[in-house]
Amino acid sequence: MTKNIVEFTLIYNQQKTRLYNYARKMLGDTMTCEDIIQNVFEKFFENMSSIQNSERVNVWLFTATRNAVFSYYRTKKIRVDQFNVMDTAELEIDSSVKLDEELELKELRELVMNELDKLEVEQRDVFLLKEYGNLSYREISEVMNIDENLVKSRLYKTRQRLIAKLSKVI
Amino acid sequence: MNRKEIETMIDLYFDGELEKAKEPILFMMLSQESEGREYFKKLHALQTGMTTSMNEFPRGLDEKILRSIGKQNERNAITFINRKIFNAVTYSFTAILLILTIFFYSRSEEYKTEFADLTREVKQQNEKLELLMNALPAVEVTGAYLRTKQIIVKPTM
Repeated sequence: MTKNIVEFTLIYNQQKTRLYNYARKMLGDTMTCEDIIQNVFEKFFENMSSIQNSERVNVWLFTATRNAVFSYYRTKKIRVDQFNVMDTAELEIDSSVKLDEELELKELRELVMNELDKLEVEQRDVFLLKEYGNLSYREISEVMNIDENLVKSRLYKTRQRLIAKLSKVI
Repeated sequence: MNRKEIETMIDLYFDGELEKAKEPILFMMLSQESEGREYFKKLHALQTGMTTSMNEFPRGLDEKILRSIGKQNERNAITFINRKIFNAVTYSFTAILLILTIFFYSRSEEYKTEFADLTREVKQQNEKLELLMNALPAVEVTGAYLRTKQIIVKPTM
């Protein structure tokens, strides 16, 4: 019992911030995000003994969180393509945003976050799993249940898109 | 190498998926390609933006989760103890049953032996009685009951 709780605490402290940020950015709703994260960790504690390989813990946690996020989308009948705000051709920096060449980190962060919200959900998903989850291509492919090459290509396209949006400021 | 290939290589480097052996090749190309250097710089800025955008884990949620896990752990511990008690009782009951079985089995074995002895004794006594009966002398029974109202028994020796 004690061994379980110690193991859990270690993993929890390692993963909580990454998971929370991933879920929060996917949902945009803090309350729902907190509920999901709590449920995921409770479920994880229940099933800890069955997750034999400690390397799989990452994948298990992110898969569970992702499933919960998509399940929330389904229950709320949020169409996934609602997040597809603009087509690549329409991508342009908002002219009202005045930015200097030497943009401060805070501004850069806000800009990245704004642009991230405008991404298609699949692109945002793969990008957040990489950047916040710090997962490898193989792990992302397992979490998303897609091919590893598709992970690479989605990631590449997302970065291209974000860089294109941010090219005037970075 | 074309631009896309260089960019893919830079992506791999940032994702920690580029083979170590290819790193010098990448840096050599970056020293020659200004476009590659530009992409490298932008990707670095993007990654910095992402890293710094991470929010701290809310303290309230932290407490909520840890409290809930603590309760769950207590419940598990109680279940574990209850299960242990149940197991102990079951094992004791099984052991008592086993002892009783052995006791009754040994008793039945004793009865079996006693019964066999008694049967043998009865048999022997029966044989003895038979021998005694056979050892008695033969007799001749004559009589004229109607006339004398006597029955005469004469041993034939």
